[in-house]
Amino acid sequence: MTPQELIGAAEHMLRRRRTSPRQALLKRAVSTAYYAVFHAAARMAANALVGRTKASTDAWLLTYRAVQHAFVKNVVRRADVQALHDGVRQFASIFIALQELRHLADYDPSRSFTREEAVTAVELAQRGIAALAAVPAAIRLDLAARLLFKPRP
Amino acid sequence: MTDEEIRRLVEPILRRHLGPFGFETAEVVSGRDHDGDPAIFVSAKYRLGEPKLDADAALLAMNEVWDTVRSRNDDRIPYLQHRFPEPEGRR
Repeated sequence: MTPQELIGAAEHMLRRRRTSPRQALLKRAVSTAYYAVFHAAARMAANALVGRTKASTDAWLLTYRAVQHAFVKNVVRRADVQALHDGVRQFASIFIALQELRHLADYDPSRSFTREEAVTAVELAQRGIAALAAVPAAIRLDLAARLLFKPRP
Repeated sequence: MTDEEIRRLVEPILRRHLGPFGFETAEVVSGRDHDGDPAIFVSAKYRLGEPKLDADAALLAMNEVWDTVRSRNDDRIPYLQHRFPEPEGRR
């Protein structure tokens, strides 16, 4: 399951039908948009730290699975991390915004979404994934380490 | 900063980036996000029937709002959410 496949799934949920998509579909699309960006971060970290060619190894999978939602948010919200590269900045803004929307979509029954809002979330997810991919390799390595390891004081 | 001070700061930013897509008004409410971190919730409200929101414009607005809040030494995360009216017949 790649980030792009998740984007495709979200788009499928939002495909125009004769009637407006039900809330359950809109909320699943918003949630899936966030997960596409989250998995892009996990994939980037594993590729940078272990290597794209080692994606079938336990080391790659362990690294991928070590990426944590709240930890990433707390790293990428920092101005010094966002200053690493414009792509990191774009990714950070989108990751944080979609993470909050994902929680609303998944856990707040009083929050409803329009199709337009869900479409915007999916489009932002696409931009976040593209922004991360455009970050130079050396900075991706730096970011990957920050996303996984807590600096000692 | 108070919610009203933030609204006065961010509304011109939103109008500049999101005006072509039917942006009408902004609402600002302080609170806590899903992790319990202090947050600023900015809702951009749109008119019905305007051109579809461009995600690049939304991203520019989001970043400029964050820069503006940061420049006032406010380290809360501003969450910009886009609230569109439901088209007639879909309510």
